[in-house]
Amino acid sequence: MKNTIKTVILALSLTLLSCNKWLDVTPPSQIREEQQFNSTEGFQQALIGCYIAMTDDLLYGRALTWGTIELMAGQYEELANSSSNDYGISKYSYTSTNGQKYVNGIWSKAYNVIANANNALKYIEINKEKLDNINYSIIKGELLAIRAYMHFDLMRLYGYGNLANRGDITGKYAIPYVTTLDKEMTPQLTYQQTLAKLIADLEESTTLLQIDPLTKIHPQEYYAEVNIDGFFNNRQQRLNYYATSLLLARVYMWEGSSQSIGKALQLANMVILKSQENQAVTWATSNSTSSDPAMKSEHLFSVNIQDLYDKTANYFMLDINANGDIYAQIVSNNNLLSIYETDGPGNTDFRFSRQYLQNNTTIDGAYAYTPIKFYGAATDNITKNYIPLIRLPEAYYIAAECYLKQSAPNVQLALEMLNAVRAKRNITQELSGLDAQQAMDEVVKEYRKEFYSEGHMFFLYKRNGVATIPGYNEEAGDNVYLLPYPNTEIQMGRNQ
Amino acid sequence: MNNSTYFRQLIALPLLCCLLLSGTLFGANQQERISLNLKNVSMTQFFKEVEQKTTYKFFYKDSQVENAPTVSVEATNTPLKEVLNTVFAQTDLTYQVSGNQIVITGKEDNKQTKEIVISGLVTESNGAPLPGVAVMVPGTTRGVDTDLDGKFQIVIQQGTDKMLVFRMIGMQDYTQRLDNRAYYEIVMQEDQMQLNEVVVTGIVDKKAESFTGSVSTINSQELLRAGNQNVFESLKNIDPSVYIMDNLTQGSNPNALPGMEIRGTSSFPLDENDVGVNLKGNYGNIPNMPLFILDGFETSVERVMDMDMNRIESLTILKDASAKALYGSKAANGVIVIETKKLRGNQQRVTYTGSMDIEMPDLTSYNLANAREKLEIERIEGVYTSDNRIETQLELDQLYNERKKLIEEGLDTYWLAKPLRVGVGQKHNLNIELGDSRSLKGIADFSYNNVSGVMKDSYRRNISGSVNLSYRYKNLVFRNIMTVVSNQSQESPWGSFEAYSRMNPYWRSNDPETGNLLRWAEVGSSTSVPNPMYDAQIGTLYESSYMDFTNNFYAEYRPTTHLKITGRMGVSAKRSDADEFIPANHSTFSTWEYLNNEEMKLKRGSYRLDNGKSSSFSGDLNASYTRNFDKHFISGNIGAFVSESMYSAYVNIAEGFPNNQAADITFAKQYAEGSKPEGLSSLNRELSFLATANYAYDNRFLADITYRLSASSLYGKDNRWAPGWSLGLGWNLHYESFLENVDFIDQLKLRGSVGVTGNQNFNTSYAVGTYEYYTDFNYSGFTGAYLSNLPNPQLKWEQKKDWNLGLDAQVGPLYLRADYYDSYTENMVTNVSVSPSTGFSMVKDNLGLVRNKGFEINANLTLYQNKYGFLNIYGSVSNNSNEIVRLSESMRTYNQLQEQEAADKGNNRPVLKYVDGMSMTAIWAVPSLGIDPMNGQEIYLKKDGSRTYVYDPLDMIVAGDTKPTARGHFGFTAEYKGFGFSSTFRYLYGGQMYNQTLVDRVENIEIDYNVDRRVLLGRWQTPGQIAPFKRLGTFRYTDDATMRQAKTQPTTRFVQDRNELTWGTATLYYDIPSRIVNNWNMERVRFSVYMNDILTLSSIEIERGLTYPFARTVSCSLSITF
Repeated sequence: MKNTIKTVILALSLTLLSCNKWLDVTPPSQIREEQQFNSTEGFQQALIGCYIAMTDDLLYGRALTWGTIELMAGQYEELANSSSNDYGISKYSYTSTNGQKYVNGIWSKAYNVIANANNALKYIEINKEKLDNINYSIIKGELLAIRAYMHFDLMRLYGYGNLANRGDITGKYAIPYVTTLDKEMTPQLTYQQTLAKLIADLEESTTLLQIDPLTKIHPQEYYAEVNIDGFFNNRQQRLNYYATSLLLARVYMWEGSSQSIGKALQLANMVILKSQENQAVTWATSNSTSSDPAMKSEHLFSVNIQDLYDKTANYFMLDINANGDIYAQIVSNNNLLSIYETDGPGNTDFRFSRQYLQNNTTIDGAYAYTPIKFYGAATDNITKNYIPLIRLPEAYYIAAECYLKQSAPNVQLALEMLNAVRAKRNITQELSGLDAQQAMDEVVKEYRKEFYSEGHMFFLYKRNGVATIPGYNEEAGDNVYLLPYPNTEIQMGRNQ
Repeated sequence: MNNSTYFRQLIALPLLCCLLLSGTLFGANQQERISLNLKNVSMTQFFKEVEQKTTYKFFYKDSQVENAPTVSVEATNTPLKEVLNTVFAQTDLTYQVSGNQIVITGKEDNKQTKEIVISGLVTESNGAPLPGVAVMVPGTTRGVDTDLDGKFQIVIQQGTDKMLVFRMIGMQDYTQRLDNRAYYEIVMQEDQMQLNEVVVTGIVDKKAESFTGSVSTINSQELLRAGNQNVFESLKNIDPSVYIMDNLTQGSNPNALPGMEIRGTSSFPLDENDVGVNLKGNYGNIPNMPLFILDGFETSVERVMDMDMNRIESLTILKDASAKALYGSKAANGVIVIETKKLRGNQQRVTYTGSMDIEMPDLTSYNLANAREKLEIERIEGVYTSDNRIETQLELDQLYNERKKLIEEGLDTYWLAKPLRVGVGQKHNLNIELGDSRSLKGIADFSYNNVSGVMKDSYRRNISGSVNLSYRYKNLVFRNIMTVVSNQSQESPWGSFEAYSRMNPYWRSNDPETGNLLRWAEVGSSTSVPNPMYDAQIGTLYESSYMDFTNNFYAEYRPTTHLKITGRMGVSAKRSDADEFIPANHSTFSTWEYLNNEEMKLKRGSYRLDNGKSSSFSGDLNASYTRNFDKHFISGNIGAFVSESMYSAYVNIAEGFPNNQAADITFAKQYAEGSKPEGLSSLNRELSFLATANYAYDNRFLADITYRLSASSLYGKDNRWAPGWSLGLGWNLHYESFLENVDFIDQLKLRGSVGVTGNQNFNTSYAVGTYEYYTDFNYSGFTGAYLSNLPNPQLKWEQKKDWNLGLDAQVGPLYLRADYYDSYTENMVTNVSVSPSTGFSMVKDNLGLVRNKGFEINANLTLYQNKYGFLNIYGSVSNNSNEIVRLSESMRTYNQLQEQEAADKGNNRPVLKYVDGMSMTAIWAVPSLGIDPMNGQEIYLKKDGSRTYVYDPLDMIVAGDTKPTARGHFGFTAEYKGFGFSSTFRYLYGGQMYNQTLVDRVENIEIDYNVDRRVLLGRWQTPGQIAPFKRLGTFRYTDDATMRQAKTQPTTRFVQDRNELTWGTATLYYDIPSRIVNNWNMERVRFSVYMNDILTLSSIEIERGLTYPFARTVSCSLSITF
């Protein structure tokens, strides 16, 4: 009798098991996750999908590079037409209808990238044995870096800045650091805990990415077999070892403690040295910049954007009507003169001559200029469709800032870093004899010259708690620097 | 105790029967004498001796005599009775003599009356033996079942038992009066007239008397009496529990599938994003749609609509849990079970049914301005006045005068009539009953149906054939039904009816001199108005077709009389395609850009090609057991089901056709710019197990239990299996002693049920994450994939819990069926807002609770009935109310989007909102206080009671409910000496409606096109004027420079009561008397006339039939049976 029962139970469970298998089917037009992550290609596609998602207009395709965030840093002339999409946010009116679009949009898009990365990270552990070591390490390293990159920018936008000098935020919670794909909300952690998670992700990532072909620790033949379809080419368009290292330096800088400054300096110096030694990047020249204003050879990490020309065409044009045009992003002559010091040491700086064109609008009696880093996408094949997110000079600037901020500031070494970049830009006059504060001012100035239309300035001001932002007459505090959480997030009980 | 294996000599029985018949004469001699001398012999030995010496036979069980002591007897010419008494005195046994049988009984069995054994054979009318027939002695608990060969034996009390009743599901009860015979041959008739004896559920047939579910069974006669168009048109007029909504947009378009619901709304409208592609043809599931079962297999609405009504034997609507739980996870919206005709007798017979169907457009709801009125409206609206230059004013004056002149000359084009016709369609059906060659029987059926719609050249044609064969081999029955349907349908190349209702009556359709059709209705200096009639002349094509093949196979095996095992297997395959060709000269391509831009000019003409295929396979195995024990009746069924269905559909669009006649996609210049091949596919596998039990005690107390466990590939591993169950109880009061003698109560049954069924009206799987490719992007040459949804592995099946209380009564001539139901739909699969930090804004989750309650009452009264005819009146009322109990939280994002849409100044339609405590069909609008006579603006009432001119969607209230408080029908059917007449009216009461067409044609008017007459009288024009309709302004969207005309946003001003009475159908038929018909070598001839949708009276003046007008239909039909 007992045996009969056992047999019946066994038969039933076998039937049910086979039923379950039979029920596991997918319609041909649908790819279920288990199926997607069943092969190396699937992981590669999921990784590439994350990068493509990052090229969204609300992320690095526009808003967080050459568009909205530059307006928020006063990089372009103020928008005259209030019906412009960017008008509200450029006036730091984050609750206006248009402002909300960005506040909600950037948040959801960024977390969507994170969700995609998380799911791939989940399956890369489950199906680890299906991948070779190179694919496993690099894909996982990049996925972790993407997750950190997105969280870091979310933190920079929706969290407090100037962390090193703010004791009031110790008890506060930062943006949720999401590591699982789940419909339940991830609880928030403190700033320190969140930064720790960020750093942990990036450290794991850099460890994994040491196998990156760019590091040259393995000969080229080592990659020949797995790279047969060229998946590990174009490392500059992906979060490679150097980009990830510099990203980690950025995070340390944001954290700002002297210990972190030291780590950031170490990383920046490593990138400066190794990235050039291994020819991951090379300096742009005046010549190359004339046909390649985005300076592609210097990109440590840039995103490959489809049809960049279509996206930028309305924003960067020469025949504009300053008052009526709702898109045009221009810089006045006076402004540019003061930034590039064209009347003084900057008169040979090719960043001014190669990266701006005069347009037909007059401001204060002089023709204004249009930045053409991405305008050039219209005609040139080289720079077309690449937007840099991390570029070599940043490593020098981080190093310079670190020298100034370390417990025993070293102005000399800092100026050397700045002078190295200036020389590459054809500025013959070296900086010297400055005190730490003056040197720091020069760092900010160099950032401005170097990274026009690349979305760096807002974060730089915010990181250092700068009270005056160009074009904004009042003191810049949290009202300017802190983007509010989306309403939907707050309704569900988040605290900012 | 009484069973058919009572006797040992079972095998010898047939022989014995003959003997018995012949032996009756001798057996009558009670005083037979016998000589015997036996000592210590066994009883059996004794019996043998007696049997040898007399004509008597002993009947006994071995067990009775094996323990009996040996007996001794000495007799010489002694009467047998004495001998027997002597012998039996020595044992515990007694005996009884009946005829020439001596039946041995135990002592305790000794009774006063005489027991005799009778036997017999039960067959069908075609001679086939009927196993499993219950043979009962009325008034007692005794009864047996016939064996596999249809034979039975039963012991009866001679004298007391006067009759035997034979009963079997699907057969008419047969009562046999007992005479002196010991052998009876019974021929039972198939039960045709009283389908309600059995409830056809498509899986197991239930005995109606002991069934506790709420069902409506409609037979073919009732169905055909309500019209011969299609099943749904008839159903509209028969049972109000199926609510088939009028389609105000599609009107009587023969190619539009009807929308319907049973017992209320509990699903959300389809989210367009979920479908993704706009596909032609019936692929996805439509919310609230019931499940259709045809001959035991799931089928589509389209198939049912295209079915020839003459093939239908019965249609059963399963409404409450007790009835529909058999279908478990798919049954939440109710089930409609359709059975096709089976061979009735053993006769060969040919029936032809043909009809001519006439459809006539019904334009009574239109109230458009004529030429003179339209010109006047334009003048008042300021079309002919200019504030600018005098030259413009002169031009406008000239235009006005030109138009005025034409009107004075008599130009008043009645555009509405232009694309319409009286559609004449025809139906032919040939039904051949192949007869019966003892074990093989069959029906072949062929039908042709051409429905011609009222829009010119719109039609739907079906050709179908089916063969239904059944074969009996011993205790096995096989049945196979094969059906092929070929459908071809065409939408009118004349375009949408809307295009005609907006044409100005002072425009011309034909050249006044030559009479030729004009390409332009009016040629202007800058723009010209295309004549939509021209589109029909140049080869415009909207065509679609499908071919469906279905084969259903059934096998039935009866190992014993009580047990039945059935296996079924169905396959179906369907191929469909649709072609849409819009030639270069079509009015779509008559805009300025297409005519002037060189590049665009080449893109004129478009072709859309849809291809789809679907297939399904399903099989099941069921074992059922039915038995009577004394007063107990039990039946049970267990079954396993498996099915797989898949479909795929693809769309290609091409553009640029050199000329109008090139109606083939290969002539295209290119694929339509910005388009790519699109498609959709679905694959669903299901598995389920079923167990049901039915118990009746003394026919009075009834119980039903059903349990079905289902799994679907649509759900995640965690929640793949879902149970459905039901419990029903019933009480047949009419069998109670206190009512048994009340003559006029034939039936009084109370029943109640509760149960849970599921719903899976969505196709994509949301439980697991699915990936899609960025097809328009690559990243340094590599393809990217992204997660398209937030997976929810905990996703469960939607469940509906139904409570039902019902009453069935037959009191004298009145038949009454009443039901009260209360159902809760929970775990509704909805888009639930999630924290955007999850990476998504929505997840499909189970949330919410919606309650539907209501009642249904059906009454039927026979006023007159005799051999010449009858008169029946009937009526029904049904009510459904719907309440969202717990939902709004999960729908917050949805509601916000809807409010945003309502706030849009360019929006002119009410939005849907889901708020707790409100109905799902509520109409949301801002309360209006009318039009300010001073400035013509609308005054709105804010929530706080203040007044404002500013429209705020947050002020929206529930202004009405589209669901009527009461719906129903009433009518009569009568027959007298071969003439039959019946008529049905439908009514709706207590609902509201947003008068969209009034808003659109009076307020949101495009003055360049025709408008409603009421514009002339009702629009505000001058300060101080009290007007019902406002004057509208203009507005701009941010980020957009174009000035747009403001639309009237949803306001209570246009929420109107909708009470409606429709004369739905009138049918007249005449059966030519058989004495005449027989002379023509025919069996039966019937002539019928049907009229449908004859008249609609409504409290709301709304244009009905916007893109396709409504039609009244008349059909003349002739049916001949040879």
